[in-house]
Amino acid sequence: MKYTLILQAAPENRSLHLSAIKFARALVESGHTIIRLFFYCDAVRCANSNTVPPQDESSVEQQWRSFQHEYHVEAVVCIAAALQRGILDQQEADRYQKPGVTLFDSFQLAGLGQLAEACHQSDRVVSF
Amino acid sequence: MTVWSASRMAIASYILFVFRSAPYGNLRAREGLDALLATSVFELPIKVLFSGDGVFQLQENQAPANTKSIEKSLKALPMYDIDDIYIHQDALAARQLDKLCTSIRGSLIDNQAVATLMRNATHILSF
Repeated sequence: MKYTLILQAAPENRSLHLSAIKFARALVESGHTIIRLFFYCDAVRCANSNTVPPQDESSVEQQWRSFQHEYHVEAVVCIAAALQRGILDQQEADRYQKPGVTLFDSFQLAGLGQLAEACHQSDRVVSF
Repeated sequence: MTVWSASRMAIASYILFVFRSAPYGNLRAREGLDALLATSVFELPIKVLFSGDGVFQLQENQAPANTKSIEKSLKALPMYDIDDIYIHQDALAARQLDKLCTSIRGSLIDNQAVATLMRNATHILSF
């Protein structure tokens, strides 16, 4: 089956995101397809490349990045929500003349149309 | 406003947006609305349910300082052909908003109708 996962919760909600990653992993290992991971609302901050977690903790951001890398799942971050929260790629940083690039380079900024399209193509949409 | 029973819910494929967040304390309500409008462009059937604290979005005469009024945006939904709007009656009662004055047109539904609305949805997006 084809799935879209929508992440909405802030990355500080560690247990929720770790559950989401476990679920995503189980989906792929069971032979399902994840059409897209869509990061929206506060979850856009999961794409932040600049976080420094406490030494004895792994970061939610890094764990999503590792998952995305390992399984080559498309990770889209809503551009409007991201800009508002300071998550910018090089293009947006240049456009708005901001000092930092804060988006993981394997994540893409895109509009809400990508969310709608993914839902349209999916058998199941699961939100976290 | 009429109360709809479960049996009157049409069974067809649609995406259900559930708005359960109060406006202005965070961006949830606004971003939920943005997602709704973006999806409406795709010509998929859409239904909207206001439940939980989301019923606060319906209050009339909102005048938030420093940001756009969500009431104003909700009033424009029919312009996007979003007419299937439902309001969870129990959510109003729990917040003592039974006499809710709202300029947003929606059908009041009971718990059973909410369950049916959710059960028949192809996808549910909740904000």
